[in-house]
Amino acid sequence: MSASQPLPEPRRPTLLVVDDDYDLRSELAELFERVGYRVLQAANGIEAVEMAREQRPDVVLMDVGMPQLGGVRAAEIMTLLRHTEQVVLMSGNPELVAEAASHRGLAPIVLNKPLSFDICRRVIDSLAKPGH
Amino acid sequence: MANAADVVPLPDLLSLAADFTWRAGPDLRVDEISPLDVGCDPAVIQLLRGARLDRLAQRTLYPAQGVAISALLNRKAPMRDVALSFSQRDGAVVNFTLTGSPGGDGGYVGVGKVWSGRPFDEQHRGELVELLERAEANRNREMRLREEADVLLASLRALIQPSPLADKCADLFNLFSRLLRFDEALVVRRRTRDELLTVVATDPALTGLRWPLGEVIDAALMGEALVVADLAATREWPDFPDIIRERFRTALVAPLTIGSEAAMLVALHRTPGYFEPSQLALMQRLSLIATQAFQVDEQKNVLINTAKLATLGELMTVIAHEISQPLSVIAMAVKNAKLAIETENERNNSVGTAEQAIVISKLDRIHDQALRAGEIIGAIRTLAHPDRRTLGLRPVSVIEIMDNIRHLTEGSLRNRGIALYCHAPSYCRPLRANPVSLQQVFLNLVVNARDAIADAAKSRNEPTRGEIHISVYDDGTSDRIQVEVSDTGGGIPPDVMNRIFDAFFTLKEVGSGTGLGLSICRTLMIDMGGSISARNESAGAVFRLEIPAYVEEAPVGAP
Repeated sequence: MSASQPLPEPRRPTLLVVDDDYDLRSELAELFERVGYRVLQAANGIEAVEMAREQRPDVVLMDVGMPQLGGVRAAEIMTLLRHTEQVVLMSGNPELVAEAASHRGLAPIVLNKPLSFDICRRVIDSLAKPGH
Repeated sequence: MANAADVVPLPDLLSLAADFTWRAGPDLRVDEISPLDVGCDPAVIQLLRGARLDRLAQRTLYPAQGVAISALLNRKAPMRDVALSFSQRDGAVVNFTLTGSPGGDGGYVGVGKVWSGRPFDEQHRGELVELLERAEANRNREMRLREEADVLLASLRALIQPSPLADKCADLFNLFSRLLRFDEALVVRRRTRDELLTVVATDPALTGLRWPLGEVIDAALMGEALVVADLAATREWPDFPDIIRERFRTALVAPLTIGSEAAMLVALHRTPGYFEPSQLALMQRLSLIATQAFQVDEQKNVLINTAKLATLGELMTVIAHEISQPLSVIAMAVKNAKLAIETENERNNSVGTAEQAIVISKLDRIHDQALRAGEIIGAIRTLAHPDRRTLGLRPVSVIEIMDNIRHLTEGSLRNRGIALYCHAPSYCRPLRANPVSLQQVFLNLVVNARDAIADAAKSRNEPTRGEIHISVYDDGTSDRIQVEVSDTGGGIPPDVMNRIFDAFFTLKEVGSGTGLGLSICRTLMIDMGGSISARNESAGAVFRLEIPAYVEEAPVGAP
């Protein structure tokens, strides 16, 4: 993000990808970098919460089932601390996750796994680039 | 009589109703004797008058008591109920009992009672022997009963142990043979919709015997016990197999339930009229015992099934997660590869080589297939998780659901030579439903139809061939949309029609059906505010779903 760029290029939105599966995480990171995001990565909920506090990403794309700190709980912490308000969760059981999250006063967007990148990108874009 | 009573003062001891009074001198010679009522045998009066009691006593059949009478002479003790008996010359027997107390002059005063009949000893011995015999017989009988009860209990215990049907029936027959005499006994259960099969018989030659459907069997399956007095004489029972009619003359038939399936218990005998209507009650009890015995097994199966389902559900969730993760990675990696090539081409400002175009199309195919595999996994997982059904209702396109069903079942239908046809009006309103639940209902009905067609073909020994139709009817005005799923599988037996939606009821062979499918369907349909019903048509079963149509809610403030 260099301010010395001649053109007033729109600021690259920041996306934090959180998944304990290295392969999926790195593929997702690569894909979103290709479509113009600054991408941060975290391997579990604790790392994600720390990273969100320091870097304030625009959107967090997070797996639900992770060791140490799960996605739903991490999303709750991030929302409570106002590190970000835009958390997208990924799960194999989206309905169950949505229900679990609603018990904690959250209404996150939950994407069904296996992920379709096109759907995922549409959702993230709509959150990160409002007005696009 | 009052005269005599005055003359002879009555003794204190009056343990007997007196027929006569007597008085004896010190030497026990009967000085006076007077009858008190007409019941007194004149022969006794004649005999005792002037007789010596102690001598008489010597001739009694109780010599010990006779001696005791002599001994009384010295002690002057009261005589209590001394029984004497003697035969008259003509062979008649006279018995009498004397009771007396010492009189003032050293003699005795007392009353007597006359008995008739056999001499005491014989009479008593006879009675005793009879009593002993009876006691002995009772003891034997009691022991036999006890043994019998032990055996019955053991049989019952064996019966309530879960065990294979054949073992269970053997135990059952064993128990029955103790309660009811028969030559052979059979358990007959439904094999297919229109044929019954002897599954177990006391005579192995009768096992596997096929029974046509008929009035007797219908009656038995509907819960009526009946006795067929003569199999040869009556023409009205043609539905007994010929082998049975040749070998046996009379039959007792009682309904039986194996699990939730109607079956019957048949006892056979060679003698015409051997079984009587009075034995029906017993037979009915027996079939009740049998039903209970089979229920134990069924309950065990229910438990196993439930456990299996739970495990299956968990297993599917784990598998779905484990597989969807790598599938996601594949889809993403492929997408990355494709984007990489496209970026490269953009940078070079070219459309890329022909080979690159091929690579990109292959990558697209890999991507789509990975996502499709994911969808299949999602559908399977949905089926394994009935809990999802309580989630929200939204507009659902019935066409979309039918397409999904076609994708999910096309492989297994094609393998069996079954065609699936979907009919829907060109315009159909959306349904108000949970898409996942509705898809599960459709899938269940199609899979049931498929299995019914396959079973029907198997029982006719023909290759499977059939059609399943899903027809959507929307009249555009009512608040419900109808969907019918029909098959060519021969239909549902009428006697189980009202039980098919019960949990754990299945017509499929043991192990191939959980008996939960239709039960789940009904629950799902009711949850969604719809309904499900079944009927038979000439070709097979028709399941009718009624699903509420989706009505857009009027915006707030609209007129």
